[in-house]
Amino acid sequence: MEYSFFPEKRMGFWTVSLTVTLRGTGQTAKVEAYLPNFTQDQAILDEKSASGGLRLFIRESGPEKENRLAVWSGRVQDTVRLSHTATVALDDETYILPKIITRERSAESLEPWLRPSGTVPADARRIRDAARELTGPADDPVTQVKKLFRFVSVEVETSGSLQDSDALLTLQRKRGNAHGKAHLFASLLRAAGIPARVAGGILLKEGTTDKFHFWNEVYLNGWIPADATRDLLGRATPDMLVLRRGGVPRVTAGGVRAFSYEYRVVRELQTVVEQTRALSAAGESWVNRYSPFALPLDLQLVFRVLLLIPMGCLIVAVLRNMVGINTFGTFMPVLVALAFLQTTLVWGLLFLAVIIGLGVGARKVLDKMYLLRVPRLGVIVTFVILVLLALTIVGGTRGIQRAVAVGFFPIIVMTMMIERLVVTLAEEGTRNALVISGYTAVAASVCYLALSSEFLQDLFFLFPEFLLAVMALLLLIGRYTGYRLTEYFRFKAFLSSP
Amino acid sequence: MNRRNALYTLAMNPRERYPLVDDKLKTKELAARFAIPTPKLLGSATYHHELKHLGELLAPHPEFVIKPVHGAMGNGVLVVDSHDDRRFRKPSGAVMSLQDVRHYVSGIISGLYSLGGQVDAAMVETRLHVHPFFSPICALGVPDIRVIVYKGVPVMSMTRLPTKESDGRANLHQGAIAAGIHILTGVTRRAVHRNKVVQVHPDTGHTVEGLQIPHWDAILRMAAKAHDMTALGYIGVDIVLDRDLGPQLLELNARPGLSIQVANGAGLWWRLDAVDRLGLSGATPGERIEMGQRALAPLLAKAVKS
Repeated sequence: MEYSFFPEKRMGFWTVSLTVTLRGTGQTAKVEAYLPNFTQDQAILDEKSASGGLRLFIRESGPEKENRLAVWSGRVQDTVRLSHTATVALDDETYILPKIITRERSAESLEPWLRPSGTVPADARRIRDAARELTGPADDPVTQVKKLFRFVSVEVETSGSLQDSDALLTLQRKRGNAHGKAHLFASLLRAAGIPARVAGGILLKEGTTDKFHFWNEVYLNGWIPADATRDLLGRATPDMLVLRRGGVPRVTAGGVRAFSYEYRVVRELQTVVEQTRALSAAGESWVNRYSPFALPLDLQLVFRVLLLIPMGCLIVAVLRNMVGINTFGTFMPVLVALAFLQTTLVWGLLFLAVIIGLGVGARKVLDKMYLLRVPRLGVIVTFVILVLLALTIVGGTRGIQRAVAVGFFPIIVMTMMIERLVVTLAEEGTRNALVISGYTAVAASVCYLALSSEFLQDLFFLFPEFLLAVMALLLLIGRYTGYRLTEYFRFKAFLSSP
Repeated sequence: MNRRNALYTLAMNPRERYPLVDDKLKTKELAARFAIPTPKLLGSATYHHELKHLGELLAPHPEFVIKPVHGAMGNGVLVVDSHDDRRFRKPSGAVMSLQDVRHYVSGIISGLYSLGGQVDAAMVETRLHVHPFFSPICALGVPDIRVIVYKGVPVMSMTRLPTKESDGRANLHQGAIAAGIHILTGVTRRAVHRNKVVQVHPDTGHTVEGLQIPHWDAILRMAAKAHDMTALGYIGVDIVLDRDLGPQLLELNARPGLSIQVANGAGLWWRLDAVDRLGLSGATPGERIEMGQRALAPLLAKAVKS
């Protein structure tokens, strides 16, 4: 039985699980959702569903039967949970835009993709005028596509706001979100006589989401993907999961009191290869049965991060005991690094700097008031959170909203930093406090680089036994009696004197 | 045939890679690594003593297919479409007992159906369901689509449709019919039955020509990817279009037969020659398909005219 230590070069193996929670009225309920379907760039390797007692019927949908729609129906008394899990493999493929059309298709078969509709207003005057302005009368279809794409992708600003979803408004304001841009691009193309459609799906990333992403498919000898939000023409990336070609992959429910849904995404490590190998060998080995892969998906997500914390501790141990830098607490850099995982490094460091600055400033002000330690900390924390709220509302840019909207964890970690900072400020003075903050930021950044490494994440998740090796290293460092690197600098004077 | 063997099969297919293709379990593993869907493997048996647990292995699966791992030409395939632990029903209606199934698998392991008669292993797979497109042109069994892929470029294709005569097998020697498929568009052409041209399926009477194979682009892409899997220069890729899961790779052939030319009414050599002139190094499967289409388009246009 061989398990390779280095996961094969993956094209994008993912497990995507849709969970729908319903609260019924005792009547018959009906839920519809689009399921991942196979395309040139997407293959379904395995799938299963749990229908909570309802009947499940999967049917093809769309003019070319290119989509799969799951329909659940049945009586729902209280709360019912439905789920559908699929293991998908996504290609990373670049499409060559064809110079000559080698495959003719009949006008009727392409008609659904040329006609205007409510959300793709290809016959609106502004759209027709824009299409005419942006392309030349003698341009061949490929050139037209390129010019229109450049317009929607580059000249129309991308926004994250739900207000910017309409095609015509996107054209008028030159600003649109993915939905607006995709519908605008489709409208322009159809106005120019090129068959096009909107593709809806999910941009895959580990974690849970209920947000769809939208791009387009343009017909030139075959359907070619084009993402005007990410500026990718003719490129299928291994994180683009298509759920519906030709529209919005809405999850709908009727006959219920309330419903909610979410998609849970995990990058698939133990690929179908291992599973196949295990089945080919006689009997199932115990290693497979007791591996972390037997856990439910949401627990897996939690453990992927937890299993990296010892690695973070090892890094902090090396930095403190062997390099000799000083940090706020032993765990702080690791916790800050975990927070960075959610906010990304740059925004996280900025966040940290803002908090440190505010903490120092606030303390200077409060010093004069001679407050007790705990209430003083409370005041500073309240102040920082108010500033964050103000920044988020006023800022309104994608970056800040994203950095703050990630949840409680980073905010909690940062407030712990404030406490340590305030104590250090009081006991060791501003200069020292700033130096230690700097070192903590450095340590946190190094930890972040290690924790965010996909290779290490995969390694520890596939082989948790490596934690024993980490423990062994920590034991060794525990007995380290050599010099620390910084000591060479601090005590240089002693070395150079005769 | 000599030219096929000398210039293509021998030159393009290194002998040491044959086991990747002849051993269906290795092919499945390789396909999984390259993200090419194959019918799900439910289990396998390599030694006679494993037959003790065959009942447990089969119990959770209401329908399945048992095949020899080193089988050839569709021999030795057992399809079960329902069972109740004691009685196993085949699509034809015949019933076997668990004892009979054990005996059958024992035969597979002994090498009854393997290439060269060597000792073999048996594998159990999920059953594929015929895509509704094929219902009018296939009375029983599962039709497949074969694509000849040369240097990673799909060059010619046909679909093999089982008949009552072939007992539901897609085996041309046993009476299945083969319809050529236009490599660019995926539209079927005339069919041949035992080397004679036919317009309709002998069992259903439905016309075979001029039908558009659904999801043709996905099928071509899978065939092109199969080249990357094996790095063999000249292969026949057998794909089944499943009703629910789409194109599934059934098996690969390092020595594909030449009757595909008869089914298409066209010679293979001109197309292989056209592909030889292309610069393919480093191309992705999608790029190879597009380049191949451009190179083959003039040849196909000429054929239609004449």
